[in-house]
Amino acid sequence: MMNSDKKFVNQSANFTQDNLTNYTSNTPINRSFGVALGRKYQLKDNTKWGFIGALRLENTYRQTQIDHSERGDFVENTSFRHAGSSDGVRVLKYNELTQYGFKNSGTTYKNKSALSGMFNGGVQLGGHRLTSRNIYVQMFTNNLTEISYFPFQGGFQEVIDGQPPVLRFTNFSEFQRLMQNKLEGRHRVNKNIETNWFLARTKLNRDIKDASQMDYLTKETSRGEYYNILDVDRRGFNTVRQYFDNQETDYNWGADISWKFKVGEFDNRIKQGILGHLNIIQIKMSRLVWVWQIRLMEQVAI
Amino acid sequence: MTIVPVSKLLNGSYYNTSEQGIGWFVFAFEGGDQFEAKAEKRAPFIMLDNKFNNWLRLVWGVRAENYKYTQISTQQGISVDRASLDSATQEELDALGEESWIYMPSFNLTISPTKSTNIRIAHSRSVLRPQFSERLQSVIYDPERNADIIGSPKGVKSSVTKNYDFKLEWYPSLGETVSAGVYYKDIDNPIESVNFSGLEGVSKITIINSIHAKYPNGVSKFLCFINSMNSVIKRSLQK
Repeated sequence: MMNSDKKFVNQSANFTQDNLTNYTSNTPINRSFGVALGRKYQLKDNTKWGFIGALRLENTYRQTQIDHSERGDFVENTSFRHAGSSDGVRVLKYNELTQYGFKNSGTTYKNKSALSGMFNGGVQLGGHRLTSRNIYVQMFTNNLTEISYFPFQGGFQEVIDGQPPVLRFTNFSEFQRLMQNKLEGRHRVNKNIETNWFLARTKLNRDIKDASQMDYLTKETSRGEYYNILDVDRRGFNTVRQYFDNQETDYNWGADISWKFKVGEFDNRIKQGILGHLNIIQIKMSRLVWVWQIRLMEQVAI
Repeated sequence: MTIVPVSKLLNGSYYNTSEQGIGWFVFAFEGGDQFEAKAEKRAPFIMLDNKFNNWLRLVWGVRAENYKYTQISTQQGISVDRASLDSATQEELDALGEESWIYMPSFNLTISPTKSTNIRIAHSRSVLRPQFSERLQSVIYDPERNADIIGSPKGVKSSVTKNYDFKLEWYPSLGETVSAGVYYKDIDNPIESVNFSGLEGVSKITIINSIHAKYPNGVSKFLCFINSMNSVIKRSLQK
């Protein structure tokens, strides 16, 4: 996988917004607005029609406080030693649990904005009924997590010795569009025989435009000042941005017929039918990694 | 050494291909960057509803489900990045032994000793199909779990569940329910999430088929308005 120099610069130049810098703001309150309208019209000869429509806008915000996490490669802040083991100076008489004060802590900021609409309509002509149901949802979700953690690599001894934490930012933004259309019918052939059918199509598009992850290392200058640098080589690839375009289409169909009959005084019903479902998915993806030594990179990648 | 803020470093003016060059490197996926798949299902069914007399009703039937999953194309991971797991090939998926036809019988027997009480005994078989995201080989990092979330590396197959239900219901008045029940699920090939530690303690969470799971549980529901709650208590005190 050789990237030509020109191609490499061109693809990198597509990213003019860093999307990795973080800004502070206050959390707004959740808001939702909705409006709905429905009507039914009765015509002569047992004929009627009606519709219902609704529109809804929803904005939600949530924060999750991470007080301390030891998952994955976040170092634990306790140590346990069995009685009888040696700590280098003495042999322990009892089990020993030591707790340290440092924490791997941070916050997740989530916000979701959704606009949805619904329109259903139906008509009934005697024993025949035809209904159409339609739903449209457009949703934007953004999750940002920032966590300050001590890496597992050094163990807690390095933390106690004054190793500064790593800052990790993970940003995940997703655009979703869902469109669902359904047509269904019910036909009463006579008092005892009835048939139902439906056809439905659902189209879902999930577009994860720029899922990015970045680690900042804290370094100390010779004058005792701290500064942060982008981590590119500590644990493989910690500065990553990803793109997914997910197109999913669902077709559902079904039909059944039911027949009512009496045995003596009691009602019985038999129903038979078939249901069908076809689900097709197509996901396009790409993964970009922040590199600072291209020549080295190409050697590794081959 | 010059120190550049990240916002400047990434604004486009620093990209270059020198020996110490910086920029965004695209990881090529072997066999394309696209995952395409198709799942088809057909299910004929027959159902009978018999009211034998005033207090005994049986609803029963069978559903046969034909299922076919086809992987049209898939990306394959590469070895240098953390996205290094390969997707299952079609041969590996075929080797899982997914049954193309599954028969799902069910029955629901309702006994009504009085007009406002029901005893229900039910059994059914159901099938849970794996989702596309559970089959897709790509890495999504979950910061709250501090883990890379990956689809099943060698494919997963459908879980088949046998459900057993026993329920007591009482309707004191219109729209009010007091019910208690127990249910039991017997799941073949349940799809479960597992964590395996990779390089330097980094968690990777993927899914696998476990062999078997049993799941007993009890539920009770109490849906009453305060007024009728009073009458419920009064009635029970009178008895």
